[in-house]
Amino acid sequence: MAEDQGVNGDIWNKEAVSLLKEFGWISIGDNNIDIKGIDKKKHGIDTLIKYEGNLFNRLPQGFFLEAKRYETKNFKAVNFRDWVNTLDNKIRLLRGSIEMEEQFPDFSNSDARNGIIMIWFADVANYNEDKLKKALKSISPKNPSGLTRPSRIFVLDNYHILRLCSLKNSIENIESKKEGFKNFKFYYPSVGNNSNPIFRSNSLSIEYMFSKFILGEAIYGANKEVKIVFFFGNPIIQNFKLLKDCLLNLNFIDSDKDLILFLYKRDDNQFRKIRPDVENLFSSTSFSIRQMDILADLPSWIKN
Amino acid sequence: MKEITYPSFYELKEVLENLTNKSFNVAFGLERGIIISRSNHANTASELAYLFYDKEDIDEIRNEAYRRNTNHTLSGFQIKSESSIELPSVFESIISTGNIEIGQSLSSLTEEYEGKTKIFTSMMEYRKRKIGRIEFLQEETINFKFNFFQIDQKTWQVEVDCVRSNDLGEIKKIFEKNLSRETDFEEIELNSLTTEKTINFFDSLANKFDENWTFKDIKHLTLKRGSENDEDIIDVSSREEDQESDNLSGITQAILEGKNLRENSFVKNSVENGYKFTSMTYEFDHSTEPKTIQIKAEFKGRPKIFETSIINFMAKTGLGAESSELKINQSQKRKYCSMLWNAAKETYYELLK
Repeated sequence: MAEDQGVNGDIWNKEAVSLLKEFGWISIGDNNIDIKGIDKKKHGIDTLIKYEGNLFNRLPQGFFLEAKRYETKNFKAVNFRDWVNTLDNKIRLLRGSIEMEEQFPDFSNSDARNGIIMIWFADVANYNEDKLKKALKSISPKNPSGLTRPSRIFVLDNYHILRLCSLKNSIENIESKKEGFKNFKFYYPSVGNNSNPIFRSNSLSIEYMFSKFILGEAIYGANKEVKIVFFFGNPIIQNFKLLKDCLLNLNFIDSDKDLILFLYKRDDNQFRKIRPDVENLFSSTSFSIRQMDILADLPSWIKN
Repeated sequence: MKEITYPSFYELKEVLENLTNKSFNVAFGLERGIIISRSNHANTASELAYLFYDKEDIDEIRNEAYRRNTNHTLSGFQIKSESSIELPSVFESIISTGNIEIGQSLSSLTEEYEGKTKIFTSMMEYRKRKIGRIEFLQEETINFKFNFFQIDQKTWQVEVDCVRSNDLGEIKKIFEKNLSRETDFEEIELNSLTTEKTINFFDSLANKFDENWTFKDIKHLTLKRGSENDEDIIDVSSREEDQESDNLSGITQAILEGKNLRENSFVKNSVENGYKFTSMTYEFDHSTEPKTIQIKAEFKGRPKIFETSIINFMAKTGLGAESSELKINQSQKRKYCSMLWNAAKETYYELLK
């Protein structure tokens, strides 16, 4: 059983990396590596991974990835806290370590203050997002201390992972021959204190992975620019009004450019009632609504 | 109805940095799978502001910002009619006829007994437009609890657990609108008291809070002078290490020794210069349990109406009897505030005789 766990864990590690690579992330070095930290001790990391680009006025972001594959019944908050604490420590001890800089300069050149824990609950029928939420509530992030810089750890479980898979499916769909769109890129508006210019990238930022909507652009036909929004909130009219207000403020709605709204959460009966109102809300431009896939398990393209 | 607006990055960051606290921000991030470690409050706020949210998220932030910037105070008034009045029936008819302003709503009455007194409780909700830089905080939906009980056949007392300074006025207007013109609404008003009587008012309150609590100290007081439009304020706190704080000790001593506050030199001097007491924060120790309460009695608003609020509630623990803050729920806070408010009401009516 222990060997199965180890092998399954390795497989999931590869699959997790594969999924992130679909979104423009780049892995550095091999999986399952030991690196000497500033404490002169070796620390094991599943994968070093980063994405390029100057997004929201930041350096390329480097992540220490831990991939965990679990059965729901075996998942315990106490173990989860250990993972978080251990990863937090590794971030602190490994970024800026001499061995890291020498062996993985591409990683050291990024803002390597991030951890990402991707937990796949393999018994998908038993998956319940409340389990992780409870475990997260038991976390007490460390307070600032001395010269140690802040770090961020992002936790993805089946909900986030399947959402990413669905996002990938939707993008592939529109870029298919049948649909005829090309050059899809994620669209990063000018926000933040330093007001960076608008930026377009093949990479999906970690902030977008945890946001309720993601902006994108593609080209249709010879040269026609199309605006795309992937929306992950509840399909209620107040959410669409709020979304519209945000898009207007970001200058994302253009009467000369088509706007496609992809919806992830689905309540077909309720949405039917407000669909005309939503279409009316965005009637200043050529507007269409599409549904994203709701996946119950990892798609085959991850496994291949 | 105001259009829904999405906050800008700047607005979100401002709210998360200045109107919500670190523990809320940390919990907000954790709920979403984001752990920000070794981060100060400003940095955490900034990290969270970079995400795009939906209505549920925005509402959570907005509600927390409102909640944290809400200080509950207790205020009230008496309704005095020329003939006997059944206020619960009047209230039910207000609900059924809907004779209230747009944007206001009232919940049905609930009843319970406190001793032999039947207390009727309801909640009011209304919308308030606020001026400010942060647009997504500008239209606030406020709700507050209030209750009323009978004093005699022609008199009812209404007590309001205020979260905003407008609350008392809002519920008073509803009753005024739905009762006859001959009905009087009496509040504890500063303008009804002379300067001398105001001193007596605050002086007496120190010993009238409750038989289970003993006066210990004055922690803070405020004196104001001038018209409503041009006020000088003297704000004295026991935290200040200067002559002002000595004045407080003098006042405390005077109260403890049962001396007339008007004879205190600081008070005399202030009165001679045209100042009037408008607030006092008392500290009381429980007679039998190791608990201390700091409670503020204040005339506030325009016109200045009396209200009470809890500043601090502490327990003494350990061999050194160190004070540590004790969390009490809103219902208990309201109870203590009501005790002081009713003591003040008795004192006020005695002084007016």
